[in-house]
Amino acid sequence: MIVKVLTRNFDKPDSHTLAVYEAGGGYRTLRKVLESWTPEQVVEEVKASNLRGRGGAGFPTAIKWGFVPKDSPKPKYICVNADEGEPGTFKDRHIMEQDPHLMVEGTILSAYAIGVQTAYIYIRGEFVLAGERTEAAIAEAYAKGYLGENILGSSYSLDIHVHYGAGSYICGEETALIESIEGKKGWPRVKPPFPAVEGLFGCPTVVNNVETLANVPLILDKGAAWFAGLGTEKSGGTKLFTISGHVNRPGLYELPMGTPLLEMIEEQAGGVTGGKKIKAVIPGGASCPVLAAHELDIKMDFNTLMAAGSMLGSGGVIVLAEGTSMLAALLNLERFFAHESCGQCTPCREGTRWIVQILERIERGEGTAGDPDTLIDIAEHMAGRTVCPLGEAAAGPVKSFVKKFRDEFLPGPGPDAGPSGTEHHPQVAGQDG
Amino acid sequence: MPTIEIDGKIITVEPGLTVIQAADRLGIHIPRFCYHPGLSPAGSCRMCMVEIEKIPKLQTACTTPVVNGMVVRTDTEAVQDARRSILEYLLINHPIDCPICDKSGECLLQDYYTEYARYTSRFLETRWRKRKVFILGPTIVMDEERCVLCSRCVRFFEEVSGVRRLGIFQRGSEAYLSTYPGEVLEDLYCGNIVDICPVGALTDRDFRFNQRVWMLKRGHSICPFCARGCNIIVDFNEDSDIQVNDSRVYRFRPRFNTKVNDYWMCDTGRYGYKSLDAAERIREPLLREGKRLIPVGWDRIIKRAALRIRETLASHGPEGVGVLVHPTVACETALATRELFVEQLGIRNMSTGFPVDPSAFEDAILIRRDRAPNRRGLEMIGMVPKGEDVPAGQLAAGWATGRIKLLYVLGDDPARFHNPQGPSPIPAGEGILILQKSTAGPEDARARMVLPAAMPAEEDGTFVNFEGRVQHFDAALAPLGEALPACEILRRLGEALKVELHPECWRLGQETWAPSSSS
Repeated sequence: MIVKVLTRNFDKPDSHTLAVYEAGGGYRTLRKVLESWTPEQVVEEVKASNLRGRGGAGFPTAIKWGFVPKDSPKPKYICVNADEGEPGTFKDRHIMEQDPHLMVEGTILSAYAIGVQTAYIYIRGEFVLAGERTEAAIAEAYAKGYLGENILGSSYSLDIHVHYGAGSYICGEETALIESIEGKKGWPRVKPPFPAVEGLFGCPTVVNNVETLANVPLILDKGAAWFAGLGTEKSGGTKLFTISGHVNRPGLYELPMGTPLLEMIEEQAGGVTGGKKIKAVIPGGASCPVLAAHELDIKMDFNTLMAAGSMLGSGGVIVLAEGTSMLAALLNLERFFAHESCGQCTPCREGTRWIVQILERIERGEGTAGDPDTLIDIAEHMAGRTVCPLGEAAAGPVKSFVKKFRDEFLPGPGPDAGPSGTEHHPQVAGQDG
Repeated sequence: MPTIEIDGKIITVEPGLTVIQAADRLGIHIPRFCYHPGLSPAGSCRMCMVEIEKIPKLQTACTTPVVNGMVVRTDTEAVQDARRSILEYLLINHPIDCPICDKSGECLLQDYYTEYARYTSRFLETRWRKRKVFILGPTIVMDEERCVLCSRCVRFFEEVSGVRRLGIFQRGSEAYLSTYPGEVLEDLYCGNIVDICPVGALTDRDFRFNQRVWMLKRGHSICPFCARGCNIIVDFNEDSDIQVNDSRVYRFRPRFNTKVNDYWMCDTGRYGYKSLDAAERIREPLLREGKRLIPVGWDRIIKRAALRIRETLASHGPEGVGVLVHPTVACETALATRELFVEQLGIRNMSTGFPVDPSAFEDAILIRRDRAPNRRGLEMIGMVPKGEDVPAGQLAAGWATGRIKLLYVLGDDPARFHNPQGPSPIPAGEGILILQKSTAGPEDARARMVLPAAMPAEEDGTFVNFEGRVQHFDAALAPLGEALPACEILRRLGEALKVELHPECWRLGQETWAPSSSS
């Protein structure tokens, strides 16, 4: 069941312009909030909406805001995480390209709620069109008085700066993103301190995903109860899913939280290419543990997927049809993580490369009977032992692929591998980092 | 004040301390690569992971602040397993070239593998090849394959020496340590990065391949090359069969003292170890015969010196003898000198000489403009004859004009170690010049006798640093050749002059320090 909430403007001509956004009721909420709401009321409304972070971890947004100390004498910052780099995920890019004002309005409302005067939008460097449209939207907002000094005649002022990444996946990790905005190398910080206490320039900082913030105007416009009702008990709203891989209609779909995975693949994405059976699905972007065919009868929300040993992540659903080499698919993913590891901490720096080396050796036909256990062991010693979640992200696929498709990682051709092992590689959208 | 428990031991510490610091205080060693007590924590090597009650994942001890009631275990199976895995990750691409690695014997990777890992390698892949024998600068050479990217050296320059000189470039397994493009690694404190490198990635071009560290003996001393008085370790080898270039001493290293030098020392002091075995060291007593100074035994030189002093006192009285004490001698030497020359022989022409060179380099880290290690000590003892102040200039003038017939000089010119070719501070004079010191200098050409004295690492003594900190040191090794500790030379000289110098006279006590300067 498609619902058009976040994407309601996407199909309109020139949807990225202020005129179209305003015609659809855009910035009406901002005016209402600045005229009659306190920041605390905004936080309470968002809390009641059950909005959870859309960047991957699914942390309740209002609670994250609540970690910012109220009495800090330092300035506070909000950083919009538009460094969408998770393979299989391309939802934030669509928001910025097709409705950037939704993100801008969400940013202003959230900044108002937290008491922020300066916001940064950190855009993935490869997102040229998204960057252009975001900058154009910000310029339009300034011209209309939605940004800058005394917004809409209120006492509230906010500036938004756009900062571009330089192509590093790790800069989507919130503390690496902060380091990058500060002009430093994108190395995640050791926590504590957490950004809410000591973030950008040493000041209290909230880092929120584009899609998360884009939900905020809708919540404040239509109410927390309406928003919560769109989702599940513990997770409000709709979710932007990006479906790729072996499906007939890959693309972006806005669906209620908790939509069954198979319904998503069959009804929205048009089923598997060539009428094949599904072999496996990566449900939430490259870092989420893979689900085997017998695990696909599942609802797509944070808690259900976590209970199943995987994650909703960023909602990037990658479908692998029967015939796909799981060895080749995992190697593809792990090459990405090895390439994107920042190199700061030992388990991730050494482990990701070692995993790639073993997978490449297996692919060359030089595998040993001990390889599957070695792979799982390396991954288990990376997970949870690194500075940032990248170690965990790289480990999840290894553990799940090897445990669920162990035969394909043993010496000799796997049961599903094609003669050359190359012709069934899934094309994973969004993976060019 | 939070109280925490580590491996069943209880400790109360000040807030803000990390678990690894608390464990160090309890004597519980948590293995570490990136953590160094003199630097900010990086939390990146992940070697120091420990179990903390109520926290599901292992935590890095170097970045976890203590919280009241915290219960930490460093000896569980999970912790051992984590350590083993980190060592395995670090070793898969390591060259394991310990037999030819200069760090071998004091390498954390080697020590920890032996203590915590001892597994059979399951690495079947091709090892990563990186730069070998890469010259970073005049003193440091890098082996990139041995580097564990702990960033200690990077943080040292940022946080201690104050200029960013190294960085980690690229990312992932391609990350490598380097200077910034086109830069040569030069810094007055470079040597410290070799000390703190936990592996053999950064080695000292001076020390490298001269000795295996387990062959070296270790002594403690005080660096004598400026008024800071950094605490040092003297690494030496007295076995002539395995010495290189007939040298006994191979390096100075900083010895931790939070009140003086923390974990650091400057390169001038560090490479100053060479002065101990330098060709310029005076190895035997020297007596002038015509134009040459010829080696003689101690008996002869002591008798001759005593004879000349007696003759001069007889012919010109105490006014005919001058004594110059450089601020490079220990307090004990100064006390013995005063006892012999002032108290017993009644000589009043005594000065400590040599003002500080105002143009000398100084920084806010360790290096002091005053290159003498014990000026403050001589001041505090009150090294001038009672009731009279004889400025150095007056003494030098007396010598130059011939009023002073015999000048006895103790100690080395502090400027000499920094500028061996510099001018002599002792003006030309017609009288009898007797030098008691360790290293040859231009004034030797005018000396009648040179009595070889031990250097600070070779004798017991006390220096007082510029802040008034009294620092005693014991001899780390025996004096070179025939050289003797300064007090022993003075004792022998006294004996020949029929003056008994009891060691009690140079013992430092509460009464030693002159009241006027006992601040």
